[in-house]
Amino acid sequence: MTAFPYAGYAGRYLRVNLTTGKIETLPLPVEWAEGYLGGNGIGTKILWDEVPPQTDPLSPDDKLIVATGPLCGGLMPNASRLEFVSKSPLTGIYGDANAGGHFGPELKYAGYDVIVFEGRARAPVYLFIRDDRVELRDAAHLWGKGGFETEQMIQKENRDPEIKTAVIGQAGEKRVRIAAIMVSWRRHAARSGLGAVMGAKNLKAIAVRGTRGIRIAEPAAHRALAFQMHSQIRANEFFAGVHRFGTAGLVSLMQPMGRFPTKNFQYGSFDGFDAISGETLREAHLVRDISCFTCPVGCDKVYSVMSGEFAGVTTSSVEYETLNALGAGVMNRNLPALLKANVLCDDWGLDTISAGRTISFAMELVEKGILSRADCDGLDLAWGNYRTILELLRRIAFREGALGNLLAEGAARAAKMIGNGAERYAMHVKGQEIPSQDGRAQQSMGLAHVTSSRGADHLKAFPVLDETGYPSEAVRRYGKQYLPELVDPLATRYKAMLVKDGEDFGAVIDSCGNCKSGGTFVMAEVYWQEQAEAIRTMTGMPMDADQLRTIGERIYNLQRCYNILHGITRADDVLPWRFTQIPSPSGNAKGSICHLDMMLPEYYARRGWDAETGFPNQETLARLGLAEAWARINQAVASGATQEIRARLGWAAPYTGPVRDDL
Amino acid sequence: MIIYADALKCTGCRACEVFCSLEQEGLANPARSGIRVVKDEPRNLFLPLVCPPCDEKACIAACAEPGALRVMPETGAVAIVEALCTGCSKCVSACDIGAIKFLRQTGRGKFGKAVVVKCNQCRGAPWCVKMCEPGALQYIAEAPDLNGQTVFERLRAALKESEKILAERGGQPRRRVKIK
Repeated sequence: MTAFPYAGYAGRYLRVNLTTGKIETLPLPVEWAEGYLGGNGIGTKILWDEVPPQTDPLSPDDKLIVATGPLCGGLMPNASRLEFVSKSPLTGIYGDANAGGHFGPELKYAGYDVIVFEGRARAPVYLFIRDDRVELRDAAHLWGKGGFETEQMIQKENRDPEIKTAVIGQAGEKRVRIAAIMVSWRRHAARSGLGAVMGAKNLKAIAVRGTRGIRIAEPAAHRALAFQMHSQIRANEFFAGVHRFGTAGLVSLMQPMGRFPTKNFQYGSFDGFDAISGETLREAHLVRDISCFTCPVGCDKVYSVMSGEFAGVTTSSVEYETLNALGAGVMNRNLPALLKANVLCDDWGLDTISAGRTISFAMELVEKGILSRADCDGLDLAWGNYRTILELLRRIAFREGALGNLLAEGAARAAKMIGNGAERYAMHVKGQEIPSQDGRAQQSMGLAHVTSSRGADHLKAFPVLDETGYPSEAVRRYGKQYLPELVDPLATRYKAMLVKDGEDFGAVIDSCGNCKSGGTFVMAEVYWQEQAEAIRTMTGMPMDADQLRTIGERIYNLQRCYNILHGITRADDVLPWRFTQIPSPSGNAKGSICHLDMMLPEYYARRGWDAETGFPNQETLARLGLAEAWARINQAVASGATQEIRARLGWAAPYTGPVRDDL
Repeated sequence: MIIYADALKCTGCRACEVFCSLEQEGLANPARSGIRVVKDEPRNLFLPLVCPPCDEKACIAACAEPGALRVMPETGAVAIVEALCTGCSKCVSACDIGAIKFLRQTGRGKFGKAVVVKCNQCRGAPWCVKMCEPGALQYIAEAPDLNGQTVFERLRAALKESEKILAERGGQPRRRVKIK
């Protein structure tokens, strides 16, 4: 094996065929690193090259790519992130999920940048990696266990508590389409339902321990840059708040803006917000602060409940999204019950966003009379009934009962199965439930959900500059000429620019292994220039900001092309009616709707995509070195194959029709 | 000077380990750092272990090779002189707080087979302290008096407790950490 030419990478990857049990250690192709960096980029490239669009995400033909990036395990702030890429069982199209914690760096230290899982094991297995020793092991004794127990059993049977794991809970085993993958320590790659892909492959866990090092091309320069970035983040004006409350601090900020989705997006403010705010959480339940790998921010906290019905619950990663989806979204104002719901989702392996949204969807169907009492398997789906919420989470995770089994499909697929107008209340884009970011109260977020390559998602573009107003950073990144509109959440001007730039930069961050919350978007100290410098000094690869922008664009365009192979077109780039037709009822956003029509054409133009079809233009793809992709999508569209695949995706399109009285 | 570690403030991010390993070994590799964070997450326990150094210096007494372990005059840190270290690992066993690691590696040490790795306080400007955002690590001239307990006593007690807990979870006692 010839040596990999760049530092920063382990330079090898694993290809694990679960059907045959064959494990290959292969040199990492240099063109993957140079063209796509790592993580999200390499995952996209493998999916594009190796998984044809007609593949069922839960079939042995789908592949699961677990990928780190060149900065992961290094010195940069929060060099912890790893990426899971596969076809999404939830949306049927491109899917990915990203997690922090400590698994990614450990995989690099073991000497691997990427693992590609293929096929399906005959019986449950887990992959064990200790440096050069890589083997598939029987996981019969782990099957049926929750994520927490699985992790500890693997550590114990291998007599090493420093083993890091990526595991699924029961939800993944049951192929619940909103299942997550849990990464040591209790961080989740939650979106896109990728836990179900692991479950369908009979892959219970990946366990890794590594003692090799990662070479740094220019140690002194890289360390100086990393130290400067750590220092700047610590000095950032938002540091204290994020450090103190994590994302939970956003609850109190979003509430007055009317940007705190309530009752399945019927409202933008929650009268019980104080009971579930970051301040209340810290005051009543904080145990201690914890951090992902090399992160100075430490947005994660451990919380526990000391008394009452839920005494004894200890949980972490209680995010803004969770507080909303399992709180305001379902009208639940019982914080201890919410913490219990969080720890259950973590253990069983459910995405808290999709789980909460799916439950609020069901509650609204009951409110509107589309689901009858008889459909509810004896549960009272009244808004805010926390006992129902906890029980329903269990039934979803275990696919128990008709309702549990139905909702385990996610809101958009369940809507199609229910029919009878249910799709009007499924708040999703391209099959994935919309997170707690209302496009009416922040225009850029509405656009971001629509253009996200994995269905509704705030984290692809992650437009935070206009979230609460971030003028100093907006000026530094884009220049004074775009103010004040750029930082005004209700203005549509320049938002196409913000979203496109965020998607490209985000693709790069997710490909490198650092964090969108730790200094790149939130506390935005690291931008194109700094990121390029970090990659160059870490790897020795020639890199400047312009080259990096091209890579970000290439990754994002390839994801779009992959979705086009699945029949996704301009017609799918829509928000449900509630966001574009019903004015926001409260807060600063009162009276506002999301003006997609004013942003989307400019977005396509900036991307170099066709305004009618939403397909990338030939010149755009040629410029990005993706000429082959242009030929492939056009051939597929012309043959009619894409429409056939689109028809089989399985979810009901969001309702965008006229608003009638009966809605 | 001593490095004082406050386990209650540690968030377990391991920035100390990775910056230390770069300084000491020229690689990003926590397995080779002079400081290590023993973690027991289910119990919310993080224990940064580093040589303060202590007063007893049992490591130097145990060392079979004169001069291989010595006190640096500027800082008071106990440092390894790699050219003299035989890699016998007697100091590793002698250290009560597990602050010394055994490293088997061809080309290292007096006999070209193995060395031990420990904190040398980066010659007066320890990176671990610099990178510790929560302030769990402090570089101070005098050991603080902790209700009559010395820093070393506290570390020893904490280590004993953590080893007990780790053993329950199937872990080995940490005195000898073998690294490839």
